[in-house]
Amino acid sequence: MVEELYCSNFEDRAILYAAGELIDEDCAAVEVHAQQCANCAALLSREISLRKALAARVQPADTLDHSELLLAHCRSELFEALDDAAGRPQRAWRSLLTPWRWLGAFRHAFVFHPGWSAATLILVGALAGTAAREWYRQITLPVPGNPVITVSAPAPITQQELETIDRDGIRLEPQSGSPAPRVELQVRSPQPRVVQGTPDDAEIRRVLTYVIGHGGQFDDSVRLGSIDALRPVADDPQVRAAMSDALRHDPNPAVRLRAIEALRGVGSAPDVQSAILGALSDDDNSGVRIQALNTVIERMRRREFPRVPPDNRAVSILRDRMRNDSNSYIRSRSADALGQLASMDEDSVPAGGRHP
Amino acid sequence: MPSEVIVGSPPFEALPNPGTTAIASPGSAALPAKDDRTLIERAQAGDRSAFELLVQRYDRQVLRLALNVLGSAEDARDVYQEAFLKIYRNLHRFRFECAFYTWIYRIVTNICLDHLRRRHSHPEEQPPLLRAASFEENRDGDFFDRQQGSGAHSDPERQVLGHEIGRRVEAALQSLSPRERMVFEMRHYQGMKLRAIGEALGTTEETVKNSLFRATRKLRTQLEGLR
Ligand SMILES: [Zn+2]
Repeated sequence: MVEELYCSNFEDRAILYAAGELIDEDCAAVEVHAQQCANCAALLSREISLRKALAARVQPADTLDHSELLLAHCRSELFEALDDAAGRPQRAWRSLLTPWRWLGAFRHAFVFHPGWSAATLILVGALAGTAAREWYRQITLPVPGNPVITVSAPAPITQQELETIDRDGIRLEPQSGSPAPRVELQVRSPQPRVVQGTPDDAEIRRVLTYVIGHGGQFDDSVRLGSIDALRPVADDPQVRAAMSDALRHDPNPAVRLRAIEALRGVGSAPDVQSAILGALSDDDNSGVRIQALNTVIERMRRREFPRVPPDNRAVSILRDRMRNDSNSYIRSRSADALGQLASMDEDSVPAGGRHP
Repeated sequence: MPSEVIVGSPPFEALPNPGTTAIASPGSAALPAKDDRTLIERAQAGDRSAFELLVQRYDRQVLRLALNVLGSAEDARDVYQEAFLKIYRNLHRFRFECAFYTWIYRIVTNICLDHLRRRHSHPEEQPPLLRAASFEENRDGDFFDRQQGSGAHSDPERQVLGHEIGRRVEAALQSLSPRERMVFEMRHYQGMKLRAIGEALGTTEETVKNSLFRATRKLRTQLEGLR
């Protein structure tokens, strides 16, 4: 304890108490004093009420970046700036007069008038629906009902068991010191039991991949959580396939977005490339298309995307987006990407190659 | 004020801490700080992908901080870019004398403070609350309806309460000085301890404590009568 507690210094101590800055001993002293002194009890009550009012505030971050699209956008903008600083793409620009260059300048207008694209992102963010962040609150809620058996080392889970898991029959709980959550599964049929484990367990991984493939059976928050949980093992072919599938078919754009983000780090497997290109081409949510486009461009920059001949699907989709996308940011950025693609081709085709 | 809150002892144990409901403090983030060292060393040696991993480890919290404090997507985006480019350029100067997130926050809070100070001295430049949101409102009238109908705020009690007091809380927060605003944000919404905030702001825990006291008193005055 730092100093004795009196009525005269109680107010400051109450502020620290409400802020969670006191050690147990000091907390106890505050509580004892409040129980004996009506004035200080009122002070403490006021502090607690203030904290509640502040806790009830909807934080601007939750409104302004509801689905973390702005975050995704900031990241890709930053990595682009780093590329520019390293002089990587600049050297690829051949001529001031190419249409790509010209359209690229148009894109840069967004940098100087960030409101345009930020507003676009916020609109699509609002459209994206579910708040991913909410999951973190929901996962700590207890699962109702009493388990009959608890199985720590997961026994194989049958298809029937999977199909009969309730909406609230799965729980993902963060573990301190590990990015992987602890997964708890309540199986009700045919024999009630609880299965626990982490995404490192093959059975748990199988359950989570099942979850992200079944939009109707599980809540959005659980699907989002499952994608996050599987991220560290996204290279696993089954996981990769399930995520690609979620990207194509999940009804919630926030889940599709999360799937792209998880697939971003995955190598250039054909199914992944195809799902990302499919999202760019066909997703009806412009936020998802933006993220898909950013991912395609990122891969091209790192040359992780396989070298693309001009008649390739990626090019035709980019051309189509450049001309037809309803979102102006996507149109200009697609044009920019095509320009880079063209100059990468020029760079890597030896003199006398197929381009005159 | 509801005095029943303090009758008996259980409510004290159950005291909610708004700063930690949804957010982990940067120091206690999912990944242990010891992992940082390897990544930082690799990034210092020029490994771009190591730097990107570091960015992804901390940028979510950085963007939240900027969005919450500045209330504008455009400004937050500027802060994000400026901060991480600065971090990138100065990474070779980081000598492991403090936690990496403290170092990052030192840079980020300075940039945020600059923004806040500019606004503070030019009140006419103060953006309306949640400017980007109202920007959308012009284009698409039911922005807030959609926000409210979505998963994040569908708890009706929270929704009504949030709606009713949100504007006043927001206005009250804007009445704080830039430094008080930062301290308050880092303590209450980022869940950082006063000592860590002091390190980030380059000052003592005692000074931070005094800022917290002043900020709390101002807020209390502004929000008097609110329950
Ligand atoms: Zn007293």
